[in-house]
Amino acid sequence: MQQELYNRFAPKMYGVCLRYASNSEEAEDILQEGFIKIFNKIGSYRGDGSFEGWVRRIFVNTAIEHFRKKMYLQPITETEENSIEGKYLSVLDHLAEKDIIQMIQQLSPGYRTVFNLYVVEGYTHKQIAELLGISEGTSKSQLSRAKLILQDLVKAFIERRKHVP
Amino acid sequence: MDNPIQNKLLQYEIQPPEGAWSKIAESLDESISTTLSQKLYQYEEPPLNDVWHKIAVQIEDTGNEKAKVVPFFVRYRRPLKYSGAVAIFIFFAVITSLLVSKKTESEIPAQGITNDVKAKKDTSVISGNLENNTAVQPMEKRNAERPIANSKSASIKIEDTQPSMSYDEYLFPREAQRNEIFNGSVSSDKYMIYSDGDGNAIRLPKKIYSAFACQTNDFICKQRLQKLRQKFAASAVTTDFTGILQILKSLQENQ
Repeated sequence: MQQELYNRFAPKMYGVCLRYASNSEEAEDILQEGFIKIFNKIGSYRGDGSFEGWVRRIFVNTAIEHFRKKMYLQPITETEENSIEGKYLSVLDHLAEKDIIQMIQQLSPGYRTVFNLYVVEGYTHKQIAELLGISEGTSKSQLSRAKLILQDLVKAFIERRKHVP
Repeated sequence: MDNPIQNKLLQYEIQPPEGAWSKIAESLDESISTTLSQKLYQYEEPPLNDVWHKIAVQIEDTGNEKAKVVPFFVRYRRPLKYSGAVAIFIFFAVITSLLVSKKTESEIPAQGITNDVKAKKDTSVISGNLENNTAVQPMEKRNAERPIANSKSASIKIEDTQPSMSYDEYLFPREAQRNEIFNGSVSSDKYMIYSDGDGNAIRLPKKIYSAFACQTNDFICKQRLQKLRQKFAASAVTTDFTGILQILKSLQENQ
């Protein structure tokens, strides 16, 4: 029964873990931790909403807990935030998921977590602030920084592709 | 169309207004963020095979931990130990208090008798002082109206074998001393108890006792007592009530 559950959700949840982790080893640790939690807490699932959503929430929370100590959420000023312009992020749409995840993994834990929560999971800045114990402003500034770094990473990626014969 | 005009229009260039690119980039970002987020949201990748083995081992460990049964006496060893000790202590305390209360109950009716028995013991001390005092003898005979020893001798003997546990020092007068300051407020100090020649215990008020008893070296007292004895002997003829009044009067004068 447990293995069936694992086989059913492991690929999806491993994808979630890879987004929050900085490498595959860390992602495996989070996956392991998350499934243990699910098996222990499965009795607390009340049937409200989809089961996959419940499982995903547990994995996201596990990943956040995993990186809570490592996260260094440095707030940036509003002027800095406004000066950031999205120029190359549209390129991400045309890249393979694996390449995108590799770029996301290069972000620092704080930026990565906020980016994942806001862009992928669809949390609001208020929710992120509550979840991570930071201010809304910090969440916004972290996202802007994450986008800026991702732009640089995309730019570098395009340059690298140009030189590949 | 004229060729030069065409060329002019075709080659016409003008800088777009500032921030035009930003707007375009933003709109592009907005459109891609939804697709990107969907892409990432639905992204799946199978984990390595050994991950499940690790999870299975961990689950087994936690399952074994849950199955561990701790016996009641092991789990609550310390509280049980303490409660047992307290129970034993309470048991002994109750037993002791019951025994003591039983004993005191049995002692209460015989207290008066016990006093006298104790007095009997005390008289061995007092009698030394009274040995040479012949003046006490008539008084003893008068006080023989209250013969303590004869009527309750049986009980006294029993009490004698079982010495009383408490109240002795409060109920029995301390050893008589002629020059001791008399404290009338303490009822137990109002009386002296001494024994006669037959071993009977006799109780006398201290005031009277001091009128009759003298210390061995007190010759003045002895002379006074001698005179008193002579007076008693003289008034012994008149045994009526007036005679007794005379004796009391003379006693007051002496005092």
